[in-house]
Amino acid sequence: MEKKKNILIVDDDEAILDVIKDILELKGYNVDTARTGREAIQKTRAKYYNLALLDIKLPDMEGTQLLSRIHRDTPKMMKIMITGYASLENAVDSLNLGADAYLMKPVETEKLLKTVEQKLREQEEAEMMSEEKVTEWIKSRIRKIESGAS
Amino acid sequence: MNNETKADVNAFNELLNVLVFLENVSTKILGMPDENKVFKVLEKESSKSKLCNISIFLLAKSGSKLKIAAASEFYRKNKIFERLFGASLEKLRIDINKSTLLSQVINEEKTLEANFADLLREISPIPTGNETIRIFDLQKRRVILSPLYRHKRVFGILVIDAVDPIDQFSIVAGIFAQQISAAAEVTEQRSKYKKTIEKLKSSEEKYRASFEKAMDAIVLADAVTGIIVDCNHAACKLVGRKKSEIIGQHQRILHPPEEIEGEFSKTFPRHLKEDEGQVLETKVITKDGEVRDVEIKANLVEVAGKKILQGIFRDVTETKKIEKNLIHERDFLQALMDNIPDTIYFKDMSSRFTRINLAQARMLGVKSPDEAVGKTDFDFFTLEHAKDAYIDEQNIIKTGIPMVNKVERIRRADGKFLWVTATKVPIRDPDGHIVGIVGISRDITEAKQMQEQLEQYSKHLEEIVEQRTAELRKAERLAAIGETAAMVGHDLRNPLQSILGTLYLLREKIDSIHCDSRDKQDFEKLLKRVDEEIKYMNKIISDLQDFAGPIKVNLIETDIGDVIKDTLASITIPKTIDVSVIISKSLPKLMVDPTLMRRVLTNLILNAVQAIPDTGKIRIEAFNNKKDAIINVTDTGVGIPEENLPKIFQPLFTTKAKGQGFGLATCKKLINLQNGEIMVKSEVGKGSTFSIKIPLKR
Repeated sequence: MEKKKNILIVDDDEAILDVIKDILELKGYNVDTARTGREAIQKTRAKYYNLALLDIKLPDMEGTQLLSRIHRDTPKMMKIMITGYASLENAVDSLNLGADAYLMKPVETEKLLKTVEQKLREQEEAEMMSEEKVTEWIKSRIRKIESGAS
Repeated sequence: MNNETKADVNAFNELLNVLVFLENVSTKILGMPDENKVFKVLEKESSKSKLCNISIFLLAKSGSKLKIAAASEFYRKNKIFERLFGASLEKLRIDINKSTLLSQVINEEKTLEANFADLLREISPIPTGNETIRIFDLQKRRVILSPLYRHKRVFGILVIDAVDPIDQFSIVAGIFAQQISAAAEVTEQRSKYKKTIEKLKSSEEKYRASFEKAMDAIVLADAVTGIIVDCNHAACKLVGRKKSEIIGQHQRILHPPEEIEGEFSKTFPRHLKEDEGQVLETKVITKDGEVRDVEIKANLVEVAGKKILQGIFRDVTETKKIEKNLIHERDFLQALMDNIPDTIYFKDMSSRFTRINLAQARMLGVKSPDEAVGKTDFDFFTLEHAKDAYIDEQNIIKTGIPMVNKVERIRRADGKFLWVTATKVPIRDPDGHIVGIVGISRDITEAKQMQEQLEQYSKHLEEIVEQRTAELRKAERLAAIGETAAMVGHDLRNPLQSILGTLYLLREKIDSIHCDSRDKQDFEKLLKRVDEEIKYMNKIISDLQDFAGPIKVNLIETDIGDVIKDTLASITIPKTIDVSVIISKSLPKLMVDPTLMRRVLTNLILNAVQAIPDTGKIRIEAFNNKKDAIINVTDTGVGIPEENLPKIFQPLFTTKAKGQGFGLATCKKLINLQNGEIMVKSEVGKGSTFSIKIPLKR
C-alpha cells in the first residue's frame, strides 16, 4: 500500500473547499484546507504537503504572494494555481513565481484530477531522480575511499 | 516947329512914355508867380506914373459882382473908392448889371473908352456933385475898360483912367490888358505847376517811404548797363549787403554763378523783353555766399530819359521749402493712398466723390480715380446699398459723429459680393465747419469667411465634443459596468466550480449505487443539461470579462479556414440546422489573433443557431477583394427589425430572452482590435448576415 499523498487546498470559498476535498479524498488523497493565506502558510510549516491548490484571490493576500512565500519555504511542493481571472499575465506571473500549473475556474473535475495526478507523478520522478543521484554519489564516494584517495 | 508939329511931337512923346511904361510893367509882371503880386506891382507902377491910374476889378465867385483887386496909390491915399461907394475897399462890391459899361466889357468882351464921370454915375451910389469927389478932376478924365482873360474866359476888368489921354491910349490899354491876362495865365500855370511839383514831391516822398519800407526787395538798375542805381532796405537784407555795397555795382553781383549768363543774370534780359512785368524764378546769393530762392517781377521804367529796370524780389526760400515739404507730403499721402489695400474716398456735402484712391477706383470699376470725381454711390452700387450709405453720410455731416467700423455687405463693380468694415468721419474746414466726409473701407471677406468657417468648425467641434462626452459617459458607464461584471464574474465562477465538482461527485455516487440502467441514463441526461448550462454561464462571464477588461492582441498570420473549422468543431449544432462552409481558395492568410477570431466566430455562430427557431441554414463564407477579406455568417433565422439594427453592437442591448447583451458588443470590440470592422444586414423573417471585414496584410 502506497503512502497517501498530502494535498492542501487554499480557497476562500467554503463550498469549493468542501467539494474538491471530497473529490480528492475520494481519489485517495489526504486533504487539508485553508481559507486564508496566513492559514495556508501556517499549515505548510506544520506539515509536509505534496501538492497545494491555490486560489489566486484570497481575503488577506494575493494568491501570487502566497505562492512566492510557500515556494520559498517548500520548493518541492507542487503548486497549482486556480483562477477566476483569465489572463496571460496572471498565468505567466504565476509560473515565474514557482507555480507548476495554472488552471481556470471553473475547471472540469476530470481535468483537475488529471493535473493533480500528473504533478504528483512528476514530483515522484524528481524525487527518484534525486535519490538515484544521492545513491550514485555515495557509491562513488565509497569507491574513492576504498581506492585510498582522500 | 509949328504948333501942329509941336503937338504931334508931344503926342508922340506921350505915346512913347506910355509904351515904355507899359512895356516896363509888362516885363515886370510876366513870369511872376502869384496873381496878387502881379496886381501889387501894377498898383506900385501906376503910382509911380503920373500918366494914369490903374485899377483891377475881378469877378467875384457869383459872377455878377466885381471886387477891386488893385487900385493905384492915388486912389488908396485919397480913399477915393471909400468916398465913392461908402464902403471899405475890401468889402466893396460893384453890381455888373447896374452898369451898362461894365456888363458890356464882361459879357461882350469889349474894350471900351468912356468918360470917367459916366462910369462913376453908373456904379457909384453917391451923386457926382459930391464934395468928396471934387478933389478928383473929372473934367476930360477918360476911362478905358478892357477885359482880362484867364483860360480864354473873362475874369476881370483892367480899368485905366487918365486925363485927356492920347488917341491911341485905348489900343495900348487893350494890349496891356492882354499882357496882364498873359501874366495871370502864367501865374495860374505856375501855381498849377507848383501844385503838381508839390504833389510830385509828396508822392516821391511817399514812394520813397514805401520803397524803403517795402517787404519785398526792390532794386533799380540801368537797363542798358545793368548798373544798380537804387535799392531798398529789404534788398540789403536779402543779399546781406549795405546800400553802398549794392548801388553802383553791376546787377549780376546779386546772383549766384549758375544764374548768370553772359554779362547779366539770366532773368535780366528776359525782363527787359518778353517777360516784362512777369514773375520769374531765380536765385540770389548773399554776401556770405548763401543762395536763396527768389521770384522777381520787373518793369521797365523811364527816369529822366534813362531806361531803368525796376525789379521786385520776393524771397521764396521758405515757401519753396514748405512747398517741397508739401509736395513730399502729398506724394507720400498719394503713395500711401494708392498702395494701401483699403479703399479711401473723400466726398463733398452731397456725398459726391471728390477724391478716391486706386483701391476705391478698382472697387468702383473705374480706370482712374479721376473718373469717379463728381459721381456718387448711386452710380456704382445697388440702390439699397447706395441709399444706406447716403443716409449714413448725411447723418455724419449733420451730427459730426463719425461712423466707425460698420460691417457692410457690398456688391463690387465686377459683381463679386464683399464684406467690408466702413469707417467714415467728417472733414472740417479751418473754421470747424463740416465740408464733407472721408471714408475708409477694409475688405474683410476673407476674415468673414474664415469666421464663418470657424463658427462652423466650432459648431462641429461642439458636436464632436458632445458626441465624445456622450461616448465617454457611455464608456465610463460601461467601465463601471465592466468592473462590476468582472467582479461578479469572478464571484460566479466559484459557485460554478463547486457545481462542477458536485456534479462529478453526483456521477460517482450514481455509478456506485445499484439501480436500473435506464434510470442511470435519465440521470445522466439531467446531469448533462446542468453541465451545458454551466458552460453557457461560463461563456457569459467570459464575454463580460472580455468586454470590460483589457485584451492583449497577438496578430499572427492565420489561416482563417482553420479557425472556422476549429470553431465549428467546438460548438454543438442541432441536427435540424444545415451548416455550409465556403472558403475562397484565393483567400490569403490574415493578420489576426486566432484566439480572438475564434471567440468572435463562436459568438456569431451561436447567435445564428439561436436565431433559427426550428430548421434552417447557416452559411459561413470567407473570400476577399483587393483590399479586404470578408467573412460572412448568414442564417435563415428570424431576422432583426430595422429599428434595432443600429443598436445591435451596443453593449447591454439584446432581444434574446437568454442574452445578456455583451456578445455582439464584445465581437465588435475584438474585431476592431484586429483592425477590422463588423457589419450586419438583416430582414425580419428571412434572416441575417454578419460580415467581418479584415484588411489584407500590407
